[in-house]
Amino acid sequence: MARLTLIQGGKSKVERFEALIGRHYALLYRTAYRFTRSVPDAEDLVQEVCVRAFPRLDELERLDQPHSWLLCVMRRIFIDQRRRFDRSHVDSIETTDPACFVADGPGPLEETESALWSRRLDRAWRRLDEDQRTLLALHDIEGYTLAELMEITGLKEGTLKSRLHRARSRLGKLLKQDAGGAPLAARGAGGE
Amino acid sequence: MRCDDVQALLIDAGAAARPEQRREAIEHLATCASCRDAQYAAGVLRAERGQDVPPPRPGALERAIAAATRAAAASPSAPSSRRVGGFLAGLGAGAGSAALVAAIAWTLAGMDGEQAVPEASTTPLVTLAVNEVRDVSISVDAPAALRDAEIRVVLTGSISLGGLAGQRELRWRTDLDAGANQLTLPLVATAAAGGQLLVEVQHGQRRKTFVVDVRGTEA
Repeated sequence: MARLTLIQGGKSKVERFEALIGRHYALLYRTAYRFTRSVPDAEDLVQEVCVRAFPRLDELERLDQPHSWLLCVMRRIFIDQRRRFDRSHVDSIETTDPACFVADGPGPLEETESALWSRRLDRAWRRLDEDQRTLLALHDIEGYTLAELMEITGLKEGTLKSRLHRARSRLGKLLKQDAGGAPLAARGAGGE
Repeated sequence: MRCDDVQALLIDAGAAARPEQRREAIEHLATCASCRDAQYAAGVLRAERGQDVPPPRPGALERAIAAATRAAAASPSAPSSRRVGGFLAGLGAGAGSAALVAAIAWTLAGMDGEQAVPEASTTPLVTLAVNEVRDVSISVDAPAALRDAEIRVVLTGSISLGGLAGQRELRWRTDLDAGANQLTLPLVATAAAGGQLLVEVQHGQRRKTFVVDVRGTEA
């Protein structure tokens, strides 16, 4: 006679996915923000990574460093979907965090300087191509080594060095043009 | 000295560079506008490294997870019937997968003639959150290897298979190993009413059919 039994046990795929992404979400979001310099776009980008990652959960769970795979996918999505993550980001007063108006931090002058500086960097950043943004974000801001970058991008060391140089050079030129040639010493931009 | 080497020395190696290399790199900077621009940008980005990132909006992680599971349930390219068949064939690795929500151990011993669907009281019940893909595993215990058995999966009511939305029946042929053979189906309850999952194995003239009740719960 056939035997039919129901056994409850183990975690569902969704629970396993939540656990995996939960461990890496902060890293993914921060990196996505570095790429996009926008909260909604960073959230969208991480969401796209999750959509790609979910069907590959079994493989991801077997990896020692799943974050390298996740960052590799994130970089590819960002480069492939450039228009989607290249929106204009002008905050209206309704969407500005009210905490910005509380006088319990930098003074108005510092706040204004910081905001102006940030917008200049935003403008220059958006004029870089996506590949340049990802390399600078990962290497120069997030501090990944060339070896780690080789793993994430699949590029050779010589190619990476060359692309990093071109990206930095272009960003430096754009920032200087935007500033009318004035250096940005206040934010620690030395080297001149 | 090449521009790439100057960058590597002044930006990447930093203090680790030898004094004479460093001097040479600085001499290069004096004559190379491109490297001066790069050096300037590197300083800007170093300062950026210390800047906090604005936090994501509340619920961003949950929205990302929900989008991923919804996409898996709706995608026509996600697990195909061939994959289901491939997974079943020769699996025999036991039912201990961590992905199990429910495992139905189903022995084919004594399989002869058509079997009736089990009585309602013995029908196993699987409960799923509505629109959430959950793996349901069915372990088919074969007393001996069965070549070219036919597997048929039928869905009724408000349930579907992740990646195969709208498809009510799957049918494929495969070999069953002696012992446990595991079939995992990504099941979705599309409404609280749920439905029934019917799995049928036919080998020659012999056939066995089992039914699993599936219910949905609103999150």
